[in-house]
Amino acid sequence: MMVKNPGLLSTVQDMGRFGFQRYGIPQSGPMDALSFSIANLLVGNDKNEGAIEITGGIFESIFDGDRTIAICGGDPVATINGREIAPWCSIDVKGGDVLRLSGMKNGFRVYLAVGGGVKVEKIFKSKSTCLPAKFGGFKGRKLISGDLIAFEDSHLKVKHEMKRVFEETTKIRVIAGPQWRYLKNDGEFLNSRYKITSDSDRTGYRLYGPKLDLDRYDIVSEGVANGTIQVAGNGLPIIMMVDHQTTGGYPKIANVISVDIPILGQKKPDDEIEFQLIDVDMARKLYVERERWLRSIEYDLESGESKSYFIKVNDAQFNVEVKAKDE
Amino acid sequence: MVIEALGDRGLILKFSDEINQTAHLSVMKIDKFLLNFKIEGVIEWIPSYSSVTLIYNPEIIKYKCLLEKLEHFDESSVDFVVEGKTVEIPVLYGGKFGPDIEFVANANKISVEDVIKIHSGANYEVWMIGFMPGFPYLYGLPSSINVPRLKSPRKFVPSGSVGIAGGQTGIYPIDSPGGWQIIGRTPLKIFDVKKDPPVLFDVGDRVKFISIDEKGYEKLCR
Repeated sequence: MMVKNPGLLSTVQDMGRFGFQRYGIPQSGPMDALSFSIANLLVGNDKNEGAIEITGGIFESIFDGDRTIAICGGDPVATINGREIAPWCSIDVKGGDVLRLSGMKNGFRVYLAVGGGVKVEKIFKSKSTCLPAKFGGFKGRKLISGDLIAFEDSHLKVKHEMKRVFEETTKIRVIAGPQWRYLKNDGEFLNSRYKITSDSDRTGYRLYGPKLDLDRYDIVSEGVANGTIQVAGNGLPIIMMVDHQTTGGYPKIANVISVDIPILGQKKPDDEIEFQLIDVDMARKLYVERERWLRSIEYDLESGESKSYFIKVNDAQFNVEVKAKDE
Repeated sequence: MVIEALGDRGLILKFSDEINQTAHLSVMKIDKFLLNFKIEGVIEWIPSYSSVTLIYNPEIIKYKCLLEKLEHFDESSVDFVVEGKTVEIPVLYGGKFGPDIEFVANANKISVEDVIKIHSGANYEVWMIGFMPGFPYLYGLPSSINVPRLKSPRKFVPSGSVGIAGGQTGIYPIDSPGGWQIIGRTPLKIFDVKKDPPVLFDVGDRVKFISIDEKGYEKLCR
């Protein structure tokens, strides 16, 4: 496949690089791991396979042969040879076909999965691009016009379609962090809207909103996690995203729960979010439920069954239907 | 040891709120404990000055079970002999490779030669790797050459640059922006994606800086 227009930022990612944070190497991986996993499953890949994360919904490429593709994440406007195609389903393409994404109706990040998965060398057990240290993925960098992407052999048996998984929401659930007690105006934090500033990327989201008043703003540096919310000396929160520095020296007042990180990954600069504090046991339960749900989809896609799924996103029930596609 | 939740898939094992040698020794001991016992469901952990951040999969190990296993950790049961290797880092001090060395000398009212002698004469230990891949936070900087960070960080610090700031010294493993005062540069590749482990040293290793001249630097570059 040749990249004709990479848009704002397109990178090769798999689920991430694990076990190297002690050397200062971030995990990387997809900003919206849920859409990423489903894109892979729809083309018959392992859910951790290498796919392309497209930022902002602008992308164009031309295929070099018969492939099956899926486009998931938010609600992109996509065409093949000028004909509109549906996201969240498996689609066949032929050599010479042109895929064009021309914007987002909703969300910010789209995953292009291709049957077999992106063929790149694994570095430290992962195909993910580590942008901060310029290694991994495709030549250690974002994709540019003219790049030729190769794919592994595909083993897809049945094609599928699926209804979209996310509903637009501004609510992001968090649990209290180790330095929550430093926060003097927690009411401000929980009852205000924070704007994602333009100074936000895969390393972190810098937020703008009411300033937070803390007992102190520096602590001894230590390891942080995905979704950790640190408060810098200016009183404004920063959320650590997938390419984040492995250590940080600002107080960690809260942590976004795992199942809401994909929702955050679909936010763009100028979007507003509001935080809701929940219990850590509930957060772990939601995570385990999400993983089980994903595995049941994985199983049914493999066995070619048609079935409806239910998922709770922020207390709203969504009906997600996965079925074998009629040819 | 205090255990604090960090999100729903992480926790922090904390030994002190401050930087001190007792707490760091505990960090090194639990690092060894985690390495030896390979608790199923533990994905990875990040040792730092006085705590360890651990990432786990709550689907594989329940939080309560993990706590039980971690509470079994008994410092006195870990026969901890210092096993850290000593890594020698050749450095060409001053000149264009160390643009801030004169500032360090003036700020401490000593000569540039003294700065080199003191910096290369001390024994350091890697207490944390973070900030960027392979960046070592080294404990053991003599207070006689301490300086604060630059008022405004540089947009570009070349890889191999050796810096001082806020009571610590470190090495920039890759080209990056940076706010530490730069006193020299090493020709060694600190971070190499072709190697596993990718970094020349690990937490707990000893570091010694060796002053070299331009000829020595060029020789090592070849």
